[in-house]
Amino acid sequence: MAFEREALPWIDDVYRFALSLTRDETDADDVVQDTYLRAYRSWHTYLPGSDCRRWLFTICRNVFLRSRERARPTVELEATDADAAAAGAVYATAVREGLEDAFSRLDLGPAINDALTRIPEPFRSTVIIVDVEDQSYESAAEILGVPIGTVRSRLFRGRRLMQEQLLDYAKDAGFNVRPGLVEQRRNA
Amino acid sequence: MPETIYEAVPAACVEVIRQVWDHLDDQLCSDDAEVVQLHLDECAHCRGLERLQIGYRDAMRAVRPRPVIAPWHIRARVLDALADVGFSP
Repeated sequence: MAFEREALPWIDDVYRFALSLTRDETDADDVVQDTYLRAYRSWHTYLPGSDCRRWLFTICRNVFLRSRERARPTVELEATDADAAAAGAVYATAVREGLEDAFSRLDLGPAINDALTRIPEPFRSTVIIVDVEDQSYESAAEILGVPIGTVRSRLFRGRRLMQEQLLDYAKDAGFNVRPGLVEQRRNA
Repeated sequence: MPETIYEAVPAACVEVIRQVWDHLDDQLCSDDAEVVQLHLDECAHCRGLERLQIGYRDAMRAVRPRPVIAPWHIRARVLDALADVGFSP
């Protein structure tokens, strides 16, 4: 049967994606099961020969949103000058606090997982799909069901929100107060 | 954070900051990419900002999940649920 041949082999990828979205193994189990049930019931809508993994990711993301009751319509905005200024302000803060090298010098693994749970939808899903799952803008647009421009603006803002969280983590971890390190980095 | 977001950012840099992720993600056409690169070559502020974005990108890449194998109970659960709605392998 085509469903068995084309959809079931992606269960590992769907599980990993569900884990990325939910950050919880039990929740991921539920999302994977619902994803496959919906996929099976909607199999007639799948276009043979198209990217089945991407199709399953789209369903998975919708199941996740429905499970969190976050599938509310959102107002989409292009990346504005204010967004750009806010991104610039994040950098200015990093410089002022001596944190401009923090991302490349600290082990941010735990902080990234924590930050991903804190940033709101729809920015969270977009950051996960592009920055964690390494999908292209085009693929993200298809999974999210939005135009590429929307992916771009969500990503811009989502990355800034992530960076604000990660800089807070670096500051709390004392990265900026190591004796002589700020001066040493600035003189390097 | 500054009292207003604008006080921290030189006005000439705002457009480039808006495009810096498109630049890093290879989303700009060659003309636009060249304009951004010229600005980056001349502007230490925006080069620093670009370095911060690259640091973020590399940190995110470092935590990308390794290939995951779905546990056996997930496969069994999915197959059971599918069987309930008429699927047979």
